[in-house]
Amino acid sequence: MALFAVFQTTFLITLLSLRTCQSEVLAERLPLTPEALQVSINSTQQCLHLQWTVHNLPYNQEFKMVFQIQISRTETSNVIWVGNYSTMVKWNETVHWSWESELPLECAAHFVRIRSVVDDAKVPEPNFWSSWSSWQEVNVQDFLGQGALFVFPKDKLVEEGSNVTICYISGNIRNNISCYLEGEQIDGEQLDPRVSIFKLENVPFIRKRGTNIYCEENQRNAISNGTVLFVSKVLEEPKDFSCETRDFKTLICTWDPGADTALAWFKQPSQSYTLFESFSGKKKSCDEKTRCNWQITQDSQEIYNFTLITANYFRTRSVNLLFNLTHRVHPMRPFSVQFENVSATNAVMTWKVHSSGDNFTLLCQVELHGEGKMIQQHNVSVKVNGKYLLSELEPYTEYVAQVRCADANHFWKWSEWSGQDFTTSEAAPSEAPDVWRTVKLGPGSHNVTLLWKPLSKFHAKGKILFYNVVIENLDKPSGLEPHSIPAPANGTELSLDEGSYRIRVTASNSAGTSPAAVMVVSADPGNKVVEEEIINGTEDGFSMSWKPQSGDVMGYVVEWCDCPQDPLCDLQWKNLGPNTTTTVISSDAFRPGVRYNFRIYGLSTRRIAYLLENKTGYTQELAPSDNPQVVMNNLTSHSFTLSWKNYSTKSQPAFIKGYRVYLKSKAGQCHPGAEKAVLPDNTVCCQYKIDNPEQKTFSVEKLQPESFYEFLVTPYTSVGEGPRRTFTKVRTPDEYPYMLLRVILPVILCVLLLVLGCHLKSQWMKDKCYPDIPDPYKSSVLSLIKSKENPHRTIMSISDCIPDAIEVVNKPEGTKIQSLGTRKSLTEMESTKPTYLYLLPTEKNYSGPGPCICFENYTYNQAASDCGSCAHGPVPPEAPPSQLGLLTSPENLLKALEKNYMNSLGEIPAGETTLNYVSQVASPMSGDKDSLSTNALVPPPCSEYKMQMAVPLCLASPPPTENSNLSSITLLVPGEHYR
Amino acid sequence: MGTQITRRTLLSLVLGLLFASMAAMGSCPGDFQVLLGQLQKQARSMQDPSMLLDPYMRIQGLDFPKLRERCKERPGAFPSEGALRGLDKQSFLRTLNATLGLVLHQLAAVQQQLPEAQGLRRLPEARLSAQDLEMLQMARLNIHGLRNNIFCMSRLLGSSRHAAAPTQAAPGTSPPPTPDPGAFQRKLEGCRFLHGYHRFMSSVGQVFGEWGKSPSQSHRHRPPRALQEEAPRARPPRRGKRLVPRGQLPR
Repeated sequence: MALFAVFQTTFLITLLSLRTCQSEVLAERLPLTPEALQVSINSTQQCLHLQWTVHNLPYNQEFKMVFQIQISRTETSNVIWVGNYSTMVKWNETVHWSWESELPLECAAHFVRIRSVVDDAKVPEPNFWSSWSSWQEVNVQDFLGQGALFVFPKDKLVEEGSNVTICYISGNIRNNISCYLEGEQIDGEQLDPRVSIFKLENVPFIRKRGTNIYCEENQRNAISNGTVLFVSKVLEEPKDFSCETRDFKTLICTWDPGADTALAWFKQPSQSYTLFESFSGKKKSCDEKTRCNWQITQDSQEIYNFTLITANYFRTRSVNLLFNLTHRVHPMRPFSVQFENVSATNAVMTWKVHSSGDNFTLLCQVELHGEGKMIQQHNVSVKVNGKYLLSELEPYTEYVAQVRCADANHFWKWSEWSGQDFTTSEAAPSEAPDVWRTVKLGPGSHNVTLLWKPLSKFHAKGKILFYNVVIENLDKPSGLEPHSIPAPANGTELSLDEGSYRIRVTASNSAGTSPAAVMVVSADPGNKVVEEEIINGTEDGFSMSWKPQSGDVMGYVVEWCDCPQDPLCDLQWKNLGPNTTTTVISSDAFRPGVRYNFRIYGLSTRRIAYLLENKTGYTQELAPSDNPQVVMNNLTSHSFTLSWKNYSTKSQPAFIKGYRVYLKSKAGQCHPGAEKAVLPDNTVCCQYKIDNPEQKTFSVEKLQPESFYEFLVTPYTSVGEGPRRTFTKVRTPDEYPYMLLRVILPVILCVLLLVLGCHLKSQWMKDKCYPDIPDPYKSSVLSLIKSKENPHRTIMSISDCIPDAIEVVNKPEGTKIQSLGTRKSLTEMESTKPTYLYLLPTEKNYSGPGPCICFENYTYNQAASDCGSCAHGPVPPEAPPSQLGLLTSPENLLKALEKNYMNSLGEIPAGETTLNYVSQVASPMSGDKDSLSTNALVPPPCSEYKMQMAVPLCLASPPPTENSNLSSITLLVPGEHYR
Repeated sequence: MGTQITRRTLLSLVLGLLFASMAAMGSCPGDFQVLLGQLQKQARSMQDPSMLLDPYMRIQGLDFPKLRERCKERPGAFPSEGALRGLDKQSFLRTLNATLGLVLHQLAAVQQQLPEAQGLRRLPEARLSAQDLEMLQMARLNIHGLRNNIFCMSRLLGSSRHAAAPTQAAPGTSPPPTPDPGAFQRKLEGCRFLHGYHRFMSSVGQVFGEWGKSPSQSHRHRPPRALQEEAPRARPPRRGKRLVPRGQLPR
């Protein structure tokens, strides 16, 4: 022990002596001032790079030294940073050091000096700082062009949220310069007359192509220069880092990378991802940003410790994951899913899984889905092949069964689903069809319309192929009458006689027949007359109730039409139990403003339906959209009647409660019974209220004559009246026509009397001017002659006349015949020499016994007189020569007269205006045509005959025609005949 | 606006692919008027700034009034209209082909330096940028289509020896490295380049329009007096010499 103490003391003394010796050596070479200081600039990184050496260091020795660095800006006295840098320095070694400037180094001149001190244990204290090196100036502005504007830093890369200082350097101190960050002006501070700086704090990320900062000289109003600040997003730590295997060959690691920190212009690529496994020491650079595959080696490594490292230019982040491989098994999707022995209620499902070794057991989950929802779920343990019996299935139903698997021992993740669909077999329908009927009674028959609803899928249990309808006559037991109606028919029509029938309806599919629905149609349905009850509907439907029926009731049926305005009606019904007396009828077909009628039937135990109640209502009443078509009649000067009898109240969009009659007049006064009403156009009119919807006529009275009125009839309901749009105009007639009637009638009577008087007067005139041809037998002259000479003979007889002169015209016979045959024209006839046969002496020359009486009948020349000539009518100048010869004897003359007279009567049609008259000769049978033909006409002696004719108005002398009276005979007094 | 861009993009795509495929398959229209009509339509389409310049400005963040004012063609970057009118048809087509080749080159460079375009589409705020990037891509296809028609026209005019070869749409190659003036200046230069490109295509459209007015004038265009006076100032190259545009798009 004492020896050890001596040794220790000796060692310390020796060491101390050595240290003292060294101190002496350094003390001799001090001071160790840094020399050859060089300062350079890295503009991109805004760094001042310093390098220097320290001389006077012992050869081959290394000392720890501390260097103090001073940095001034603009001028040496403006020290902006002082700091120490401690490092080991060798002999003749160049020391490097960098300083990052907040301000771009181009923005101002920088000055650097340095001093040092030895801080080494080998050197005994106290140590002293060396003297400062000389100032080293760095001024980039000297290299910039004059007169231009520069913005620094150029293309600086910073991280989001950093603080950045930029500056501009103007070549001209008089320039007024503004700077903008993404279009927004920014405020800065002047560093010197040519330099201004802008401090941007917490810079945001704007775009990958950088944030634009530009400055302009206001005088030139032009962009002078600018820079782009590349702001990187902050690198995020990967999230949800996870690794798993599906085949024990590859580990798949995935993660959420977060924001991409890549920048354009190659300023910064996307962050990199590297996977490092610590047990194996392997590392892999990942190609993708969200996942990386790691090959599992065959060395049965079970435990893995992964580190995911992500990095960009600013940061490095990492996450760690330690796991057992067998606990991260994500099985692959099962395959070959199939179904065996599929019946109406059962099916066997089989599938296969990818093998992962003999000792590997999978837990598989089987799900059964029907109609879009899950029905069953089962778990099955599987080695290689899976199998499961699906039971309690519905017949004729489509199912989807799917399976997925997971590690049974260490659950990690389910595999993806693998599924298949299948359909179970059919079974017989389980329920009778819902059947209803409508019955129309005809003469001696029932027309039954049988309706049924298709069975629900649940009850049909298969595809319904047909419906069976069996009719049984209850009154006359006979054979059943079956009908088979193919699906998807939902009804049929039956024509039955007046008896009672039981109708059974069943539905059949390929597996069987449903129970029967039974309905009885009776000869006397016993329907009583029920009143219609109004019910209120809502959007949800119609709520209704009815009186419970005493006695045996099997149930109730509510019947209605979904489309009551449609002739097809779309009949609907709802079956209700015997204890139900209320229900709500709803339908998607119900529309507002449509009136629905509901008939409630009771079903007797004999299955006969009989009407109980009748209800009607609207889901929502609407105001009438149309007004009645109004007919106006009985229009008088004080009233008229309106009628709209064709208006149907039952087909309206609401219950009609009555009508409103609006009457507009200029007077604006309303009579008692009417109210004043203001129309939407602010006009005032009179309103008459009719509260009886069945009253469809209305008389508007107490009107002013010869006045204009406008009327409108509109129905009103609980939700309002009909539209007040179109008024009908009417004008009451004037009442003066009635007064005028009282005046006009007497005037007319007077006129009639006057006309009658004139008529009578005209008879008088006629009698005066155109008297009737006197009857010779009744003539007073005759009586005078009778009394004087011959009381017995008053009528001239030709035989009594003695001709005193005969003028004979010689004509050749041939010519005579030719004339008859050719019937020459009048002009030709005129060319012949006229021949007159003077049979009677003129009055002057008459010397015969008895006086000659000459008659002139002026009456027959009335037409001629109308033309202002009261003279004798023209007389044909000649008689046809052919006839003259015949007249040479009295007999021939008579015959000719007779013939001509008959011709005249026979040839002249009634109504013709041109009339020829043979002079009337007095005869005992005067005026009797028949007698003329049978009795010889005997002319009175010494009478003068003239042809009289009626001619058309103003036709004094019509030219004779071939058929005219050329054959007339003129017997004229010689010397007085007309030419 | 998005719908408009999409429709225009689809139309451009169809036209570009149609013309490109026509020339690539060697099926040039044989009718001068038909081919000229297609060239006129393409030139008219490419002079529209909304097809290229506007998307570029939005992508680069230059879509501000003050920056728009600065986005003017640098004089001499593209041949002037007077210079183009002073060329015979073959020289005009060769100049046009060369100019479009340079534009194609620059657009390829832009597309290359935007590898994040696909990533942008995932970001809701960057959907507009994604559409603009598509516009840039479509512009390249359109230029390919126009160049193929230029080839066809050149062949139709009977100078297959000097005819511009048909082009295939292919990724562009990077231009030679140049001293970096800074991203901002390069953005502005690109903007000016595209402005000049649209102006140039407008001039090309005018020249093609002159062709349509005087189809029988097969060789020399007779420029209007004003342009003739302008032509010496623009120093049109001698006949047959190609006018090469200057300037490039930023990456």
